[in-house]
Amino acid sequence: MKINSKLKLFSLFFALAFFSSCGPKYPQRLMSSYGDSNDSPWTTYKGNELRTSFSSERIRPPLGLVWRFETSAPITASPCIRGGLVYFGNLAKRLYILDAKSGRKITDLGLKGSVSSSCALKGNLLFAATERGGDQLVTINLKNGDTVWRQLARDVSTSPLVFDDKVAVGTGDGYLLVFASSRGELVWRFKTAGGIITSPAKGGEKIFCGSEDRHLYALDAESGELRWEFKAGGSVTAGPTVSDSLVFFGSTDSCLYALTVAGGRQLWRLKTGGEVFSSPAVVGGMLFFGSNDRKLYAVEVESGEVLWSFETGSLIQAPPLVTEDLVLCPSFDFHLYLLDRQTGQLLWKYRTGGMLKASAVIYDRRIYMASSDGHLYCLAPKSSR
Amino acid sequence: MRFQKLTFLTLILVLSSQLSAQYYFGQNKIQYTRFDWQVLTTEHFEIYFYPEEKEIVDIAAYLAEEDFHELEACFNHHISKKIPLIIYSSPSYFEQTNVIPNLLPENVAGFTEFFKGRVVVPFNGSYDDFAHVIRHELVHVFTLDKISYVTKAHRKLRPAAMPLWFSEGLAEYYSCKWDSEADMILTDMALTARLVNLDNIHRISGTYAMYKVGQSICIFLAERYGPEKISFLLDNWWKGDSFAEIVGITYGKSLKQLLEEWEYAQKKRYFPLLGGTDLPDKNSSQLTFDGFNVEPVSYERSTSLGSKEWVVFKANKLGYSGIYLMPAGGEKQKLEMVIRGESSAAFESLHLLSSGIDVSTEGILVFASKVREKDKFYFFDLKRNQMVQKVGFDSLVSLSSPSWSPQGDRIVFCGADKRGRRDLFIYDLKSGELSRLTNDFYLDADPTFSPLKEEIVFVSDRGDWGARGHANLFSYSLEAGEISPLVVGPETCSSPRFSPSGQFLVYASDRQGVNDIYLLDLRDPAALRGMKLTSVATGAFDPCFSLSESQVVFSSFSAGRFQIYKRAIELDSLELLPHSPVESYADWQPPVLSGEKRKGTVKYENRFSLDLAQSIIGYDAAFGPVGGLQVALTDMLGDHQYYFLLSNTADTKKNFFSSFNLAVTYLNKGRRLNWGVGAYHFFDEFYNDIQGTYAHRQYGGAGLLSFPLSRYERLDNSLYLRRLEKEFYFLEETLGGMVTTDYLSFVKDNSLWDPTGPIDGMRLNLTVGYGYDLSKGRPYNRLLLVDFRKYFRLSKYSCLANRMMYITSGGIDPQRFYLGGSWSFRGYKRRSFYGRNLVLINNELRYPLINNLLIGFPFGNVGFQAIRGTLFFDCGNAWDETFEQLYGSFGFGARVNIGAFTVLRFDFAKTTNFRSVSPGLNFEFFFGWNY
Repeated sequence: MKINSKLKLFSLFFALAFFSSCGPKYPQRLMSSYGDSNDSPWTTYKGNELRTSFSSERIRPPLGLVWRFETSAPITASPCIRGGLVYFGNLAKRLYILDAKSGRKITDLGLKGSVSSSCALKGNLLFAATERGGDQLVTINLKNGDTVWRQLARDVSTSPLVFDDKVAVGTGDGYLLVFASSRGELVWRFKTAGGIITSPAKGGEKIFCGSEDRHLYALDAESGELRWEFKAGGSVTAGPTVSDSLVFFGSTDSCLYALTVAGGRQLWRLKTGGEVFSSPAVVGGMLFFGSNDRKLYAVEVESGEVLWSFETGSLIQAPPLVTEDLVLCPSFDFHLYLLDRQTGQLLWKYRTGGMLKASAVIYDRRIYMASSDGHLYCLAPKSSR
Repeated sequence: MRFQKLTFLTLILVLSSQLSAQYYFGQNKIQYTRFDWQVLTTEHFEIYFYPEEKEIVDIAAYLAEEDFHELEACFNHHISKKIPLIIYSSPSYFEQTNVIPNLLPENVAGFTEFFKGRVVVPFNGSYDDFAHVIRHELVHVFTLDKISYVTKAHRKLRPAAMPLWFSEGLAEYYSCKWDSEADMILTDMALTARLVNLDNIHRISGTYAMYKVGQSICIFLAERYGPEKISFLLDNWWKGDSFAEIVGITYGKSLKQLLEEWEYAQKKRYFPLLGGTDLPDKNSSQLTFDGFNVEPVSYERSTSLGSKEWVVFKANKLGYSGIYLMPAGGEKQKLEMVIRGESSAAFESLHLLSSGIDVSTEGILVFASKVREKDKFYFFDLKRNQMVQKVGFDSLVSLSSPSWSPQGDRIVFCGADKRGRRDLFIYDLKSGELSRLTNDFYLDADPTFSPLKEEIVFVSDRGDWGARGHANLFSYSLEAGEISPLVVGPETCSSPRFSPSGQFLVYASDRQGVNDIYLLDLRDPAALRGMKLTSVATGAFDPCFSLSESQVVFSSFSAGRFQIYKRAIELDSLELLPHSPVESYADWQPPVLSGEKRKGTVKYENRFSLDLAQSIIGYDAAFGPVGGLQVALTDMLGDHQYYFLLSNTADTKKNFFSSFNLAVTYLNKGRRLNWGVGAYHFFDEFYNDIQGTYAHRQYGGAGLLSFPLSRYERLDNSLYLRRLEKEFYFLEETLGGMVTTDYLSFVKDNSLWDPTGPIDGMRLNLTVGYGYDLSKGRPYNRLLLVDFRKYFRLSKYSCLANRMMYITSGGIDPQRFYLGGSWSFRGYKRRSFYGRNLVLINNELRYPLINNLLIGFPFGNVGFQAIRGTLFFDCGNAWDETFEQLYGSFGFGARVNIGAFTVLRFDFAKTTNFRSVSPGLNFEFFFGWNY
């Protein structure tokens, strides 16, 4: 081979190596250095498939800002956190992975559409859904950043529900789609007459999903067969949340409903002063949810009796997060409120730069709060910072 | 008739440039009143008010804060920045606002300016109206903010435009209940086969009907598909490129489909009404047939042929409001105009829909008119056809609905003071004494004297029902000074009038859901009997008795207009209605914001912020054509304005910095005399036919004054002191010096416009200018400009338009002018004539050509309205030293307004030198308003 040919070959190789090194690389090695150091990961919307929004972690105010990560667009969904890494998306079609302790960005991935809902984690897989323009449920291998599979799911603003070996998502054109989580083939689907804008929940053998057609549906988790349906006075815009034998959801008729899981019989209905978009949190016989009347309600699960209420400065549409002794309530007035779970007394509050549309997450004694000002906030007790 | 014709406008702040001095024509917005502005801060608002409004500012604050919380929930959206809310205690003061430069028509009840998010509302005396307009405007604020948030969050660079009917309909939907007035509009549309659909909804754009149709559509969508869908529609704004697409995404049906469903629902709702009611012309005699006709009053007119009954009424038939006379048989017999309004300072506004008129037994017509800052009453002798008296009151800003005493020596009327309170007053014509009858927060209106006793019946929102937005009838005893309820209940009454004998009272009321005329039989005071006189499907208003008391004359709404009708009164056949006497009524007080929700009040200070940034092109008498990037900084009230202009005319790197055009101007519009100062540097290269190419640099300062004499006339003065440098390339000479120039103009403009340009009235610009070279101590140049335009109205849509223009300039460096082209001399190219002297005469017949043209395209229909035709004859010339002759042209053309401010012009013309005519037909296509 002549020297100039060798030179050409070398140049070609160099060019290929150079251009392939341009652009963001997935930090495989760095990702693999993170492990399950915490035994209470938050791997899905509201913590579990029942959507109870309960955290067993203990945290006491006052808190202070540890770090704040800026993105370029509002964040409207709570993050998932596991193994020291924080996972969340924003409306600028980006999916971020951060170091939970320092807030340093590990990587970010571009998706085809806005991410307005929480993602879900299972094993090495991350499930994320995108709104109109992206219209996808995409599964990403966290080891190498590759897309494992993607499926058409129109205009999704709901968080994926991972259960057994499946993943379910509600779509803006009214479908509940269930895919095999590993390979993505469609297992079953159910059509409602309106868009699905609340994340499905699973309780027992049933999957619950609400629709803008004013119905809450209970479907067989395996087959998708309709078990029962319940008609509310307005679009189903909050929940469902399952606790023991009851399923709860909120509606634009300003009511929170409690139905039996078995047959969908209404146990009680609580009318508030505004539409209910805030998916309830349930623990220890108490249920907590917010309303467009600016109030957070604490309700007895069995009777629907209001135990206390707390008024914020604006709408409450994010689900509250409950711990053993606290309720964390995000409000449209830019504040995160920490209240005593039993009395509703205000213990502490923190102001962000935008409306809070997502619930807080507690991980490793820190609070992670996404705001529509485009920031993810990490707060920790002042004593521990 | 107190028709609450509320037209709310969301106005974009158009940077329409500087003082009136910069405008060639135009009417004037005059700041008659100096306000001592304060700012009240609440949780979500900054409320701008002056001390006289102390009573209503806390009411406004309460209403605004309540609305904020409710609208937050409706829109699922929170606004964090404080919303500026500017309130005026009277519509007359409101019209003086500088927040937007545009003149505000009288029926504008408030507006939201979106650049700084300012909400500006007047108080018209009615708490219910005030609550409505504040909420209506806040809906606009929330709508704009929500869409802005949603589209920015999703990086939508060009959000879809929201059609005006939906924007205003949404604001009405969230701010008021569906009432009898709204029903009247839709009933009329449905029963006269004028319901709109997607293809023709643009026809009602900007009208009151548009608001109500929009509201009706929103109500329909909420009832059929759920109220939450409307909020979801805004959440989805980023998902589509057009309103229709976003609707389809939200509702799962096309916009066309939804509007068809709505249209069908209206037919189902309104068609059955004809089972029990009629359109007004079906059971009454129609007296007027054209325009808007309201407030009829019967009177006896003596002529050489004897005495006959005539009807005096207010109307807008050709664009200007006026007061007319017709025989009792109707306008087809005869129609006379008594007073023409809106074209002179004496009758700036006759308050067409908000003030009644009256005629005494002696034939003296009394009516209210806006005269400069305030209203005055005019007394016009109908027999002698002359004005006999004019009276105004210093303490009262607006006057309305005068009513004669039986003796003809007093009038009772509704007057608004500077605080905004609307109360009853009596004016004694003999003594000149003004007495105040009521003095409270309640709106008292439409008073009428009883012929039998010292009693006045009037409309008021006092009492329990007033707190709920209704207006009932009350009587005021002049002897006892006491008020008693007369007709109270869940109804809105208006325009009570006694019969000549005093035995009956007629009034309008919507007690059964539709405005109809009711009669109260007063013959037995112990047992008053109420009867329903009309059963009109749409609505009947402004009743008055005929002189014989055998008929009632009234106005009614039909086919989108108000016409006057009469109907016989047959007492025996009238339905008796229950009339329960009421002994007393309860006072009510509007809630006010108090306590910690009031954050504090401070004196207003000018804080400047960006108003608009845009590129502009304009022409100035001194500067010539100017253009570039313009940025404006203004204070919150718009009284103080800074303009910055920047552009660059360099064509090589070498002269980049020397070719900057810069101008800074400060304008003060806070008082009647508007003034400004500026500094500038302009450089550019020009060409003219006499001097060839030359470079022109000028830099210096300017002073501007504009003094409006009335809405229609003003004096402008511009003084420039600048260094001028002209370098003529081909002549190889330079000209320049330190030149001061003063221009003085008198401008008069009372023109009335149709979609393509003026159609009535006149316009005049008379300008003289004189320049003096200070550096060389010699005259520099001079200018005389006369531009007179008169529009002779021939019919509703046609006129003969004349323009006569003469310009002459002289001196060392005279100004020169081009003539030719579609804007000046048709048939000739744009720069055909050039000189320092110019004469131009245009004569044009403007007439309607095509009213509606709809062209179908694969992507949809494109509609054009009001296509006008022209036949014209022009003549003129421009010359430097010697006038040779006049040239002429004649031809025909068409004008099409394609929306907003763009008019397309098509002209076909032949030219002539008055000895021969050009063989060909010259065609020119251009844009711009008619002269």
